[in-house]
Amino acid sequence: MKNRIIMSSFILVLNLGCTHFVLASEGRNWDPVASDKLIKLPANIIEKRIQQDFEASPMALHIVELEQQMQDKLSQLKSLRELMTDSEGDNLINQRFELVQQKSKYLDLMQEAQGLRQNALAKKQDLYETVLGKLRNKNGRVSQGEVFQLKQKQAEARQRMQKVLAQVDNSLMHTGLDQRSPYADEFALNLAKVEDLKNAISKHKANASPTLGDEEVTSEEYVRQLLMQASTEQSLLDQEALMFSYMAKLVALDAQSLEYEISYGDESTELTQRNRTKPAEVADLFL
Amino acid sequence: MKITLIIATIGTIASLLSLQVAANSLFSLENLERERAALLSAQLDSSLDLSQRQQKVQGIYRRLVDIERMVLRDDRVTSSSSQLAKNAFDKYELTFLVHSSAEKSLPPLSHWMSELDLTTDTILSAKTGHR
Repeated sequence: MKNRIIMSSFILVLNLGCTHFVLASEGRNWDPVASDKLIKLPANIIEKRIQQDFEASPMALHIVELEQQMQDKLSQLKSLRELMTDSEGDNLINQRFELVQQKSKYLDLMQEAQGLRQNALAKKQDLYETVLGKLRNKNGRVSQGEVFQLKQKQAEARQRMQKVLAQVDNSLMHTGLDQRSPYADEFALNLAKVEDLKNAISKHKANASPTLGDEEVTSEEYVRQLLMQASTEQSLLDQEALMFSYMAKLVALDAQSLEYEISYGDESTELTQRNRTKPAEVADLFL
Repeated sequence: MKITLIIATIGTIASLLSLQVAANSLFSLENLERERAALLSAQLDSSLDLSQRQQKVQGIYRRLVDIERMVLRDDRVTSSSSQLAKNAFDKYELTFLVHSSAEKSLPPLSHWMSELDLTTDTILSAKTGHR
């Protein structure tokens, strides 16, 4: 009976060793969408919004649950290992069997959490790529649009006008029009206030450009950096998956060795050579 | 509750900002076109004597200074890609007659004529006839 259980746990562990990650089960999913509303947010808020959305999702809540279960399982494993140091005989075999089973369950939980993390990261990457694509489209549309070109021309014309403002005002004085027009007076009065308001807007934290370190960057650069971070996370998760597969392999080997021990005895037990009567030993009897 | 209030405030501000767009976006440019036409008409009006012309031109000149500046500062003009606005900025020399003539230190009429290549030679060499 015990052999069967060990075999089944052995097969289970071998399956784990394949490191084939299943997708999150139904109802524990996270389906973020790169909506137009999201694109309009400042880049650093886009990141926070996505993280907030993920943390509220059933997928993230399930990962938290799994983490808790894994912590519990880890403390069980630790106490089992401590118990094993003082055990021997059948008791030790039972505890070793229990340890393999608990390790297998721990790996089950780890596999599920790892799968969910991979899935969440893939979705985050897709989302950032969509956001980057939309940002590029938006900037491209704006810079190629007729309105944008017209605004550029107006800005150039304004700069050109600025250079001759004083000259034109002087020419008005020369023609006897020494009083400024109501428009010019009001405009000059408002201009200082407008500059103050513009300064206040540019200094407002809600209007601040995203920063990387101390450097201000564009939204596009910021999202590109987020994609780089996601790649780094992906690479580390891949490495963790490799560690996880090695752990599964070790549990499989533990289960296999336990099975061999139960079936064929302790490996330290030497096979006793069956007593064999050697002719030399009995030869004297015939003398 | 607080978030609802904030959203409502943002909505009000957005509607305030959009009020600017609702008005005729080319209003200032159309005024400029009319005023410039009036300046050229006054300059070329042969029924006016010198002092009458000078007085009339001075008033229009002063209004043109203001209105050219208004157009250049008016973001509504470039909020739509209208042909009128495109032409106006493509032909800065002719549209913003007062400021562009100041760049060349020429009177507006002389500047306008030189831009259209209306020199003494071309006028004298012109012949009357059917087109």
